[in-house]
Amino acid sequence: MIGQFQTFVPQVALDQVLPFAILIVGGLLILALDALLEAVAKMTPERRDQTLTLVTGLVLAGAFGTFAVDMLGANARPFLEGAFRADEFGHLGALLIIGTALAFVLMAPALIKRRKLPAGEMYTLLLFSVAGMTLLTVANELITAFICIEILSLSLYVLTGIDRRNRRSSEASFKYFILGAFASAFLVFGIAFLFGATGTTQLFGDGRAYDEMQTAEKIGRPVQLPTDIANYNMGINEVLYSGQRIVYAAQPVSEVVEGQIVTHPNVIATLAPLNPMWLFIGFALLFVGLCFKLSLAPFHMWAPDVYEGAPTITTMLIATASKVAAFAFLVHVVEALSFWRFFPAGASFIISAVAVISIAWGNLGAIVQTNFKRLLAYSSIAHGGYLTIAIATLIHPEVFSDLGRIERVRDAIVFYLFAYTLMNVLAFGIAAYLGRQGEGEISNFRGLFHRRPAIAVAMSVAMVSLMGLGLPIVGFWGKIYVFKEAVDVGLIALVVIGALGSVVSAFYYLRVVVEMFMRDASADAEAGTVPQGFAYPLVIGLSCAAIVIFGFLPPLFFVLGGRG
Amino acid sequence: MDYLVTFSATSLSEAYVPVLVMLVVAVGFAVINLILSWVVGRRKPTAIKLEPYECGVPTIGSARSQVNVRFYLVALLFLLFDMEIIYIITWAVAVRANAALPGFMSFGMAVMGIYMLILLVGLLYEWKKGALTWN
Repeated sequence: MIGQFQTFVPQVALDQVLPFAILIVGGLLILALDALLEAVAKMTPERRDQTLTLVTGLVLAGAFGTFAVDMLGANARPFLEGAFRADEFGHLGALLIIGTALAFVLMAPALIKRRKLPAGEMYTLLLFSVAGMTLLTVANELITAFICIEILSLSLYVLTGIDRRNRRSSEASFKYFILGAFASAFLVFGIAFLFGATGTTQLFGDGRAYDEMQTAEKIGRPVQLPTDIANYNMGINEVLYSGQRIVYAAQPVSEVVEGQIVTHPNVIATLAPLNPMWLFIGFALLFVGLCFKLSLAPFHMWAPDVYEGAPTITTMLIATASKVAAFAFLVHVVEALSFWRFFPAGASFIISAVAVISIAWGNLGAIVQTNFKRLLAYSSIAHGGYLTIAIATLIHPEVFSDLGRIERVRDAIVFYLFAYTLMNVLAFGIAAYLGRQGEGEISNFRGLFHRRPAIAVAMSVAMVSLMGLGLPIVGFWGKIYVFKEAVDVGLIALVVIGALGSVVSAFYYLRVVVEMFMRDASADAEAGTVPQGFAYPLVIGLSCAAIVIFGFLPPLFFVLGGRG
Repeated sequence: MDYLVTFSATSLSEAYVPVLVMLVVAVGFAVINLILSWVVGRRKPTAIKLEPYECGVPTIGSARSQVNVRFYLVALLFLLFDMEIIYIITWAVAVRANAALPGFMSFGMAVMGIYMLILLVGLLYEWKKGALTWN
């Protein structure tokens, strides 16, 4: 990638691009089918929507299968000229994302029918956004990652506003778009600074330069980048490890040798000492851009309005899948940057500050909410804060010098993301199932237990798990794993704030539970209509069962994830 | 040996200093002229002078009339294929410059083929959905 002016023909390994190819080709296929089924095959709209749902489900299942198989080959080596790098962490994230998308497809038909939404557009955008998200989990190059973020964001903007007849939906879409575009500007600016600070946009190199530098360090020679940089596939991590940066020459390099000017037409770059300020500005801008996407406070302003206005299943996708993707990318970025030994000391303050503000703001803001989806928005801000504690742990120097501990912190993050996804799929699934009753005010839940006992119990499971206190439930273990790793490196203050936040959260989560079990005479009569068929009960039942099973047997997750 | 990188050279940031100077001069020129005309100029507004165009046909009605939404659709489609041309031109230049590299021609064709296929599906979609018909 670095400094080569000749172009190249990339080697494409089919097994590494197949899952993404399935998603993208699937999206195009849906687009073509949507256009042709009605016009050419003379299908009725209902029949067409059913076909599209089926094809989308098959595409996602195919992508899920290829990802699950391919995970055995996730070897953390860059491929496609360093644009991507698949590791176990990214692959588990991708599986979570596709799983959420499958839940979306199961729940979409009822919504499409009720609100008369365009099915083809919805499924195409879903597949494109999933392609962007899964590619982001394995992205190893900052510009590639930016394009992935744009693909997923643009799809989600439209999916937010797809309910055109609903003013709130359009408003949410508009707000999401404006603030998202704003965040993208930060992101690109940060990438530009990181490029200036290092001379490359690739996060991880192929490791050869790193090995050579380590050998040099062992035998006591100065740590330096290899001089023939064009022969290496170097990443930001290796450049930072050397404490140098690559400066590209705008003109042929010349020097004075014995009183004569000698020009080197083939020299394309020189080395200069690293500029820490550029690096930190770059990281800070990139982090702010990602914080917008992750709705971490103080960059969360869009979240409550968008969560409330968007169709509930889109909200589910924004709250879970897009966050899993962005967190996976954030983890890869901070891991690459931590190769510079002074990076953690400078960056941990920014990351810890965002964690504390998110936990405080999310939990305190949720207390005053009366709308259920806004409550979940603030809850997701707080959960983002807990996860950011894990990021702060990851870049701690103590962790970073020990591969086994990095692995443990990553496991904690993946498990937390898994738990978080399950709980939110369950909570949003129930909200979508109950329709107007579940998507509106929390007081609408009053007496739900007496009308639909099973649903009320499932919702209680989701709320208790989101609270994550005391009971052996999946959300609890997620928090325990994250907090334990943070305590091990001495981030006691962050953990105390996280625990206090969890205690505060008990108030608003349990309020929903209390509402459901109260008897309400007026609502007793009207149970409301719910979508027929197996789809919603399947999503709700599966996620509820998973929360309980993994709550009693959390290690099962790592066994299933290929770790013995 | 040709890639030796141990001495300093004209860096990228130095090379862009003229651009920065140009930027400052351009902005400064505009700002100074605006300020000068505001300070020195005389203002005697008349109805004719306040019209959008001092010469030509007199304005009729409000300038804020609604435009048919179909025009936006056409503009969007135009933008799409306009962008496509930009990519194709850069692609063509790159392929021509590297045609001698083994395997590059077929690689370039494959890449552009995939790109064209994506656009083709988009075109098919807008055609069958009736975005190309005016009524």
